[in-house]
Amino acid sequence: MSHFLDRLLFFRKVKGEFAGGHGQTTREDRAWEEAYRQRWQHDKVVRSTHGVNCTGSCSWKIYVKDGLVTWETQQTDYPRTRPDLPNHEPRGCPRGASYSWYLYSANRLKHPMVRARLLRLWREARAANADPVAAWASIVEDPAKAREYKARRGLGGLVRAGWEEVNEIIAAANVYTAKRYGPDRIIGFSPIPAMSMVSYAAGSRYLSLIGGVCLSFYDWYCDLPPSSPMTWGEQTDVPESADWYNAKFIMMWGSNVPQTRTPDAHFMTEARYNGTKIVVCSPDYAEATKFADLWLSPKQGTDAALAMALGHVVLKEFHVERPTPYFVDYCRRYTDMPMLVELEPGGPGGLTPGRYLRASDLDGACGQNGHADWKTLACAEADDRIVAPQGSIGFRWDKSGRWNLEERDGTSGEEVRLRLSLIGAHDKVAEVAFPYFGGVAHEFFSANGASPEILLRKVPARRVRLADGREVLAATVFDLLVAHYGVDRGLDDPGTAKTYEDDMPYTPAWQEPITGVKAADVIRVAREFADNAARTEGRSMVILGAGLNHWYHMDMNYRGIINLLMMCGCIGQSGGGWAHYVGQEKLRPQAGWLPVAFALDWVRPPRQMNGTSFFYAHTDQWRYEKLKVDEILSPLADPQRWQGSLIDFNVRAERMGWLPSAPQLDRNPLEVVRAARAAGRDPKEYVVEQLRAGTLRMACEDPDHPDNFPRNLFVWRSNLLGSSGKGHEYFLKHFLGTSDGVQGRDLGEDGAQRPTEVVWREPAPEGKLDLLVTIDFRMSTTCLYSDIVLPTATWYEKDDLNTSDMHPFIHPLSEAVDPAWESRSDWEIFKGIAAAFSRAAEGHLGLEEDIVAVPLLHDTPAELAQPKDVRDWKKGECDPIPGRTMPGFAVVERDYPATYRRFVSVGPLLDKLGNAVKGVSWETAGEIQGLGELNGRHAAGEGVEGRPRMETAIQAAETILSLAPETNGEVAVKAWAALERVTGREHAHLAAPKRDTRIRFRDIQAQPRKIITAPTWSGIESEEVCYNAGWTNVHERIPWRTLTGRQQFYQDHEWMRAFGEGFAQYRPPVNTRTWQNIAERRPNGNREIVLNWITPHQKWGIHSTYSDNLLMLTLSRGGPIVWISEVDARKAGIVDNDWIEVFNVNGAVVARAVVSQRVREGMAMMYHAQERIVNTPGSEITGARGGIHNSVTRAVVKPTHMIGGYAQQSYGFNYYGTVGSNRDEFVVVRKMARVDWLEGDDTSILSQGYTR
Amino acid sequence: MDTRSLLLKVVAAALHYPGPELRAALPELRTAVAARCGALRGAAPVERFLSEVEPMELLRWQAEYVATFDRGRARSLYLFEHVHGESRARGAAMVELGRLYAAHGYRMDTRELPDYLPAFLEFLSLLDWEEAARWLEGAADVLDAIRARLAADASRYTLLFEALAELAGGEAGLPAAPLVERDDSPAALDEAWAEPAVDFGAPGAACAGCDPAGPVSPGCGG
Repeated sequence: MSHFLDRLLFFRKVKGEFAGGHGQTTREDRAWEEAYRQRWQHDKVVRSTHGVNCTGSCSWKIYVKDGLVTWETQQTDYPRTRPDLPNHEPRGCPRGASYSWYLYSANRLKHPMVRARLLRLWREARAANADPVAAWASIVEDPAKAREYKARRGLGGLVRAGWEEVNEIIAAANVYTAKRYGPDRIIGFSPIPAMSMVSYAAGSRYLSLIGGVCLSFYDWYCDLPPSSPMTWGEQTDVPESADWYNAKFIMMWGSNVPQTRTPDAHFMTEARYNGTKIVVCSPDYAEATKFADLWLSPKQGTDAALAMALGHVVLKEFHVERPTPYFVDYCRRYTDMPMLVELEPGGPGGLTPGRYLRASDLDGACGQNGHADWKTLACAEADDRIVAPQGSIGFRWDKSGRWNLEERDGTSGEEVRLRLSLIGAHDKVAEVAFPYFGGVAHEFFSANGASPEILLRKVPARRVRLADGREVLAATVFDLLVAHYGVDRGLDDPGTAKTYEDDMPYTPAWQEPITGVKAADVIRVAREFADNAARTEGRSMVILGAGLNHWYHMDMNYRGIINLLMMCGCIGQSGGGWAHYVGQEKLRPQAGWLPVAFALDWVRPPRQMNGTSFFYAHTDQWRYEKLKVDEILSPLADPQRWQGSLIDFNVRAERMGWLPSAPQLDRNPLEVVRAARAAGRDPKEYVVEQLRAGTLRMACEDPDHPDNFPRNLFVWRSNLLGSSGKGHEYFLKHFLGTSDGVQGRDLGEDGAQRPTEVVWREPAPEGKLDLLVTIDFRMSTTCLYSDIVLPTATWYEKDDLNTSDMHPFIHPLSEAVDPAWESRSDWEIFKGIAAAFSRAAEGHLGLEEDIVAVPLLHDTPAELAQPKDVRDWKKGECDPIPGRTMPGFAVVERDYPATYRRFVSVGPLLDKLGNAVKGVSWETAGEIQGLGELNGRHAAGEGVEGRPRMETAIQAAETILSLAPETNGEVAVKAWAALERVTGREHAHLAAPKRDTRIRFRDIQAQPRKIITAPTWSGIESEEVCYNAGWTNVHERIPWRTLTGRQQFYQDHEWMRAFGEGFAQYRPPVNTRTWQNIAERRPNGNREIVLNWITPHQKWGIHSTYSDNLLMLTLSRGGPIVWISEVDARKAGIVDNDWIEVFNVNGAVVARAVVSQRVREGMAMMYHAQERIVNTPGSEITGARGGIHNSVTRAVVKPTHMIGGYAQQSYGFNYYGTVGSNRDEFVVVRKMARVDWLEGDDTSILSQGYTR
Repeated sequence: MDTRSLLLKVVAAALHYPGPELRAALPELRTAVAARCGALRGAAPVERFLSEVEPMELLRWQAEYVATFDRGRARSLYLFEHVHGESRARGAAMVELGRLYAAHGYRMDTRELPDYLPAFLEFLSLLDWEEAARWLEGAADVLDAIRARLAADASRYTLLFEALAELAGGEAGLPAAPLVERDDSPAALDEAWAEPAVDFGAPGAACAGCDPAGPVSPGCGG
């Protein structure tokens, strides 16, 4: 009994010690711990992300205490993946984790800033003029005054100003420019809309309302792979990173996944644990190489040779010798392999591949009435009859409902199995000539000159009688492709290889001297890649990136690899395919975003311009062009027919409506319409007539005439000058008119042949821009060179939307705290500018008619404009017919004083005209009605009364989300129904279960949301498969948006063939001639070496962001660095950490040397983009502060990227066009003799004494 | 008001970005300093500063201010920029400072951060001098570092920091933090950038990353 009472029933005595003396209980005061607890206390956690230039799109938790952001951590609440698939989290990287300190750092832009010289001029002018527009005119029309502030760009002297004052300056400049020169002289540049799409839309909406021009970025950054539009008619569509896990064989080729796709890299690790084989292909020992089961190290820039040899092995073993049923079936249904190509006269054998045969070529047009020019032909296996199979692009627009990839005759609708090879059904074995570039000499690349520049190959062909009476020979793409790859068919062809050891294009032995990769490794990888794809029905994947795409002949690298994937049936299959992750960063709710971004709810069409051609022309880089057209022409082309320089080809492309123009005409478009109306003429007819007569010209023919200068430029969400500006020093010289580092001479000074299509003006203009406005949160290089700098909200201070190609979620940026200091969100900034513009316009611009030139656009009927051959109206080869042989013209009415009211409301055109994306359109009045209820309606305001409000960034986000099929199930159902009418197939099941889903802004703030499957994209969101591009093409039989409706091995446009790129092949880098005239001319006593200039993505920054962040600088070397090999360092007497200078005729950059085993001999690597604002001393060559990685580059455009009006090769914004390649560049590298930090005031930097 | 607090208040105003308002108040400031702070040794440099800027064109003064304080972290007027750099401890430190203001019944009424030096100085001018002096002394390291960097560039703003040094320490007359002769030779630069070898566990090993006067951007022009 006492026993029981001794025992405690409810308590236990606290013992002094426990766990055998390892634990101890004390009663000391623990109040001191409070300090630590407070350290980690916060008032709230807000979801945001990092908003412009990183593909990661990782969701982050932002901790806020007392209205201040204290730190951030990774979010881990992504929706779960399905069983058997690893989850997405954790996502994030050290760069993102160090973002919050931009908010309060010394580099933060806190106030609107203006160059003091300009502000003084402005205040004086404003005091003398009651009208701000007159004040602006008095400055820019006075050459001395204009010179005074332009020449100071980049030289400091900025002062703070109030928002009202800067908005008035900007508005006055815009009104003046629109009135005096035309609204198309007002330009905007902003990249990567997917990350913070509302912020992008803010600027583009303003510009589109006033008739300004938005420049594309994807092409300019050289991240656009033109091979994708060529092959698939799609800008870029790729698998999400989770799909890597489904792959069984991965090649990482020129893409450094752990370094540049850090948050996704875990899928790669998990795939390896799961048994996926990994082959890494990279010239240097990149970080990704650690994943490799096998590392292939081709010399940089020769990847196409390696890809061709891999293709040779696959074609030989898996298509010709032992045809793999899966591959054969796939290629017959989904590629152009069965399509017939006319063999046209050319080459020493008499024949060369020409155009695809079209229905209209045949008598009776194969029974096709509509768009017979655009229906390709093939041969039926059963009876050898020639048919026009369903799915080619003619069916897309002929309203037949037969635009699909069912194996059917497009006329009868009967099932038909197409012949891949004509062997056995051929009339003749033809000797066909193919161009060969592998023997082209280059001072730093090994050629394989064992074969002549024209290769003759035997191809089975059949005779076809054409409607015009000619009898021609035709061959299938498959037979031509096999012959082109040099695979023997048993046709007794001395031009094909009998074994892999034969040194003939394109055997494994042939590539060895070019790439340095052992032939045995090529054979092994090809076999394993194809064998895996055969066993798994396509689960072989290639992850490829900037390392391949930034070369002049990037198309060859890419198409070589794409061919491999198509041969093996990998595209459109889960765990397989083409994974290009460079810069595009999928804007998933695109259909909802387009009307907001380009003001399509108020005025159509918007003005859009391809960035590369714009900068090439207007920064006058064309005046220094050294690459001649005959150097890149096919040996089969007649050089007499292909005269002129690169800009001449660009001008012809603009004239024929292939590429857009900006500025467009050599006169103010507002005045042109006025003149037409005064003459009682239809403005469109008037313009065409004047153009034909030559009394009106396109501005592109005279880019150096002051009337054709771009006058005002907005840069937002971008560091145009510090990061992506190829030919940086030319920007400084001609565009900005300030001190520059250009070392070479232009064609005029050199006495070289000048372009023929453009006017050559002397002297070359300097300072074309009147006003450069940059919007940023940090003091970037671009800000330093700007006239006006506006402080924007950081990624934790604004509401916005983010999507990525790396994962299927849409999630927000959120205003965790108010924008600090005087900063404002981009939406608020452009609202303010729009309001000031509307005020300033009064008395200058009212209701105006503007004539807008529109190129022949992809995904519109205009993509069927120029079916067979190329004709230039200016040369009298055809009539100028707008929208057919030249750009289309549209008269647009602009209400300038209403600009602000229109900006903040959803306009009526959506109710009237509906919405559309990628050629699919639907009515959307119901969504506009719903938006009015959700956002509220304007109670008053001329023209906007009753319209839905779009005053806040959240209202803009809701508009995007409501209008897009990806975020509104009802719209998805409508969009699929619209596509069903074109394909004649049922697709509704893809979205029907999501019909009631509405994703709203507050939903994604609660948790990232997976988007809804929409016809905008070729992959699906499902519980069975990961997102993978081409999935609906293969599994829903929706054609690719190409000429044949299929994936194309062959490109038949006349220019493609003239430049030797009908089929993929190896082409060595071009010779940019940048070092010969400067090497050994200005010695500093140290040895000079010449290296290839490689600028990959970096580890310590996302482009230039974070490159000024002390945390990241501490992890790196604390300033600009260039990596070189131990061998080259020895040659030049350089040791690690030495200051070195890198220079050529384009300019110079200084950096410290990182001497590493990692780097291959012959290359210098400078991660882009390391800005000139951190630890950059003076250059011994230029005498100015040491430049950036783009100081030694210059953009060189490629004619094949200018093609237009031709199915998939038609213009689209950020879809097709010239690209800013930069890897073919060579530089002189040497140790510096003297490091001068150029301390002192801004002007002394200009005049330091020591240069060489 | 204590004359020292008054002088502090004048320095706070003069260290802020010069706008029309400050410019218009210059005579008033000069009169106040002359009339009431004359006995303080810190008064002379403040008077000199005020008389130097008074005839300047405002835009020129503003450009000079931006060039001095807004470009780079070396002379940043944000106290914790120097103490915590880009470390995430800075947020917590600012929150603490904000709470100090609140504890004394003040709330910041502009879109400035709590560690903005002119704000901090104005706050101190509102405290009893004894307490203000303690806080000022606590910030002396940072103030000295800024003063040294300003002096190296022969900036007129050095004058205001001299006044602060006088007010803080009573060790008046001492030169600003000893200045090393500028040496841009490659060897010296290498030495400045060299990282000490990591020595795990060595007792008393200094933490290189914690040195507020550590490497800073030597130039940010362009």
